[in-house]
Amino acid sequence: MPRKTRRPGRRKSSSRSRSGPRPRRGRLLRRLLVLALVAVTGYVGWLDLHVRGQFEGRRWSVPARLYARPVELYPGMGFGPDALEQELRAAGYQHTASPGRAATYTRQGGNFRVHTRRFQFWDGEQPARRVRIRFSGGRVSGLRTGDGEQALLRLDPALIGRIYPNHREDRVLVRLEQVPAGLVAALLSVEDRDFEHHHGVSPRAIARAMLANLRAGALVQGGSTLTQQLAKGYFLSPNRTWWRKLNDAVIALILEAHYDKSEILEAYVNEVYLGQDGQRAIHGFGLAASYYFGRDLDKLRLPELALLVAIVRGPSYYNPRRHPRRAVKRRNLVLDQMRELGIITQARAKRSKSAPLGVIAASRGTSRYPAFVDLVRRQLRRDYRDEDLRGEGLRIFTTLDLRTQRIAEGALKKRIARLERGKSKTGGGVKVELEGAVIVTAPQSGEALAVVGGRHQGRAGFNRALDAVRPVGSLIKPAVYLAALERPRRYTLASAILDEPVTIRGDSGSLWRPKNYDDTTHGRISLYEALVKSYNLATVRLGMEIGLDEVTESLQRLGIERPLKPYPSLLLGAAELSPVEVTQMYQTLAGGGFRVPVRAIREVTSARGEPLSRYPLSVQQAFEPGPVFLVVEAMRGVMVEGTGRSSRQRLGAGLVAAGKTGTTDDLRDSWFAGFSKDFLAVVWLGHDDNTPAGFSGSKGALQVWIDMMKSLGPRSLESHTPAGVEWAWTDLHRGLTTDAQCPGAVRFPYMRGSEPRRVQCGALRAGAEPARPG
Amino acid sequence: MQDGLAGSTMGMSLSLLCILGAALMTAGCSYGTMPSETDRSTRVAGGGQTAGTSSGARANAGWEVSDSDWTATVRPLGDTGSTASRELAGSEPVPAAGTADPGSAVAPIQTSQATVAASGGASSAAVNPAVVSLLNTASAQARAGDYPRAAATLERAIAIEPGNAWLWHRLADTRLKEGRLEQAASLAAKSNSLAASDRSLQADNWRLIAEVRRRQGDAGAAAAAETEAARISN
Repeated sequence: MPRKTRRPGRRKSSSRSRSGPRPRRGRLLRRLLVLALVAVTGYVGWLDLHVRGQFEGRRWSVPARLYARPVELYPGMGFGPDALEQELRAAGYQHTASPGRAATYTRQGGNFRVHTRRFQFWDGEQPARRVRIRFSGGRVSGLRTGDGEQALLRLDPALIGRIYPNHREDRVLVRLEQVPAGLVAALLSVEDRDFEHHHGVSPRAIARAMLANLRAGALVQGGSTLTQQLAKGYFLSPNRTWWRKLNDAVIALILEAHYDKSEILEAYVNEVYLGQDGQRAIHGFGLAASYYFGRDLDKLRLPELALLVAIVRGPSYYNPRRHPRRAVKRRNLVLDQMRELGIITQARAKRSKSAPLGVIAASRGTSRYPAFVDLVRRQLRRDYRDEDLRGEGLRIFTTLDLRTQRIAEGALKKRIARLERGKSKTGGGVKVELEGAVIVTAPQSGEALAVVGGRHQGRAGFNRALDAVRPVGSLIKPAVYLAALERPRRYTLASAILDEPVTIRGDSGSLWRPKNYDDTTHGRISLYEALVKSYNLATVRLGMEIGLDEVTESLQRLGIERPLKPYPSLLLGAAELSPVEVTQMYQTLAGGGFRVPVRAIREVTSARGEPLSRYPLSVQQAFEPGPVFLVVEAMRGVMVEGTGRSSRQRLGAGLVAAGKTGTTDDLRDSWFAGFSKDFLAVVWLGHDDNTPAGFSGSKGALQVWIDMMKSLGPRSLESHTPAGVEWAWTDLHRGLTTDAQCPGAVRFPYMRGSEPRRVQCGALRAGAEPARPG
Repeated sequence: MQDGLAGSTMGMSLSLLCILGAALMTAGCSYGTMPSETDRSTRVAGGGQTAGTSSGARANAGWEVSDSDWTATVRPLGDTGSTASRELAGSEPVPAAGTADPGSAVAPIQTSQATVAASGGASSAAVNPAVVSLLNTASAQARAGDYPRAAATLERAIAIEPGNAWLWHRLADTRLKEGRLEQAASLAAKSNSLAASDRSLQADNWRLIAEVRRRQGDAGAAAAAETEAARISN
């Protein structure tokens, strides 16, 4: 209303100025006109550049292919026959009665005959071969080809997905030839009947649409052409102003001036917005086909194609999962329009209209491993140049290990279900779904073997492994102890620290009084015991003694790039990190102080196999091996006699591993990070809305970790005592070294020269206190 | 109505923007060239540094273990001429005793059982025949000057035996030959952190680090590393 009243006023003032008898005014007006023209020209020029950039930039047609890491079989390898069969299946091998073509196999118990494919690896072509693979006792026992027994066999890898490396989102681009004729017909009959003839904007279409809508008494047709709709997608602002509409019209004209109809139609088919899957926008009919029907576009039948076209009008209003009735109605309208135009017969329309919607229940990503592919995407963007990724049909060799991924997904899913069952039994009604994330790497090389972004495997969406940034609790502690042990003159694993109440005054004058998890205190204990049992009070005292800056620095050297605020609460893990960041940190510990970046890509080659760029293994020494060795020694203790001891109970004493639990306030987050010789795994459990999940690190995440390790069959951690580290028999309780045969004496590693005073056993035993067994 | 307006501005502006566009579109798109031919004269001075095997066969001054096969072959240094010139002259590789067929050494995936048997006893580090096979492949690739492939092959071996200090040393040596000096030094240090009981391998790693520092022009650090190598060797 106020606008309307203002308008006449403005008009009045302009008419007054026009009535003025000034020839100078005329020149000014002409100048203004020229200026406006230049401005418009400049603006349209800018639009043109922008639009063409967008248009050209999206015309890749052959996606990059992603391969899993190839399985390398060798005699003695701990890899069972079932794992091999799953691997072969994943790589598209067919089971046959007798070995024949390439990519087939036969199996009789533990005996395989495999005819491998010819395959272009990054380091050359590997010919097709016939191999006999024998297993015994869950291990590979022999590999035989026509040339005799082999030491090693590299299988051709499974294709795990297709991506467009330069696109931010998931896409399934289709060429116009691949688009079913029915889709195009349906699209043009409801969205733009004049498409073949107009120049981007069609007044006839607008008129006809208005008429049709009037006749139908509803919005049946839109007035804007396909080109205008395409133009809409090129600018982010969604507002429906006249300026916006004008803009779209200009862009449409620009597009029509530069590109022919088939190019525009192809762009439209790949660009159109067709739904929302959590944070993922569904663009293009190719992706929509897999999102709604779980099938490729060219496999869809007429009613399904008509439904996709129906959704164009309003992806959320006509969402077939949420509003099936509306969707059916609109789909049938599309079919009616097609019949009206004589594209389909009355009978066909009738049949199609009675067909069910056929939409699948859960959305499936374009890869079965969306969380892993997400990591690949990010690393491509981070480590490779845009122009390198522009080539068509790139081949990307990833580090994904299908067996590890399968085991990690299964372990997380099953354990979460079990934890939820247990919780609902004890009364705490489950309101929010328990969620989780897992990352498994090969700790020495940093290769990501598995990434699980949530309990629902294969579902694209929020990738918790990379994006759930949560307080890490006690997972931070190894960094505190590492900072201490780097100062061997002051601290050894046997040094005493008080686990007694402590009060810290913050900058604002507020007081912080941390507590132990079990709400008791433990008096004078060794650093070893404080870390193994994860005592908070001792850790806070130690951290304040060393200095918060030193602890922060230690975290950064471990590989945390995120800026950390050196507040005292940092010592107990108030710092928020994602599982992948925790993985990076623990990888440096597992690597003996050598930092190796977590990486998901081994090689990228062109379509023809020429190596494009290599992302090699690179290490950087961040710590002397000695202090890291001492911390890892204590982390081994965690698994034997500390917060991780259920691992020893469930995995047996035979497996040597190191790790650390993490629990946050009110049991919101349950963490575990641990490693064997060949696997490092980080597990997080919690609620997406940050409400308490109700599990400590030991009760929740550790159990997932153990389940996984049970199936993975890890090799024990090796203990390579680095130069400069000496072992000494220690009475940990008194913080002294003593004789080997002294009761309760345990061997502990020390930085050379830092060993505590040595006291003969007799003198020790003469003391009042009995030595506590280690 | 809108059409008319948009159309007229279009006509005028299109010509202008084509010039502008052309100017902008042609920029960029220059592809970086590959790094020039990697330095092949990279064998570390001091004889026997690049290779070495188990106790007895480990190279001392005056002996050179063929790069092609650290597993078994030891041959005397016939002259004092630089190894590099010999490498370039093509007198290497010297086939190792028991190596299947060095002629076809263009990275076959497997080696014959004979190689495995021959090398099995030579080094305690590599008991896994698959690792031995990969090492042989890597050696052949390095001899052909294809260091990136040799490194990739060594990474495959490390995936099988991540705690094998010898493999990390070989990777360090390959990086040195590639001219990736900082990586070479880091990998040698990594090898040392795993080579707890193998003093001669530790000494080799220190010599490699010394070579890196020399090439970086840090004579002090080079001398210190040499001293460390000498101390460990004694």
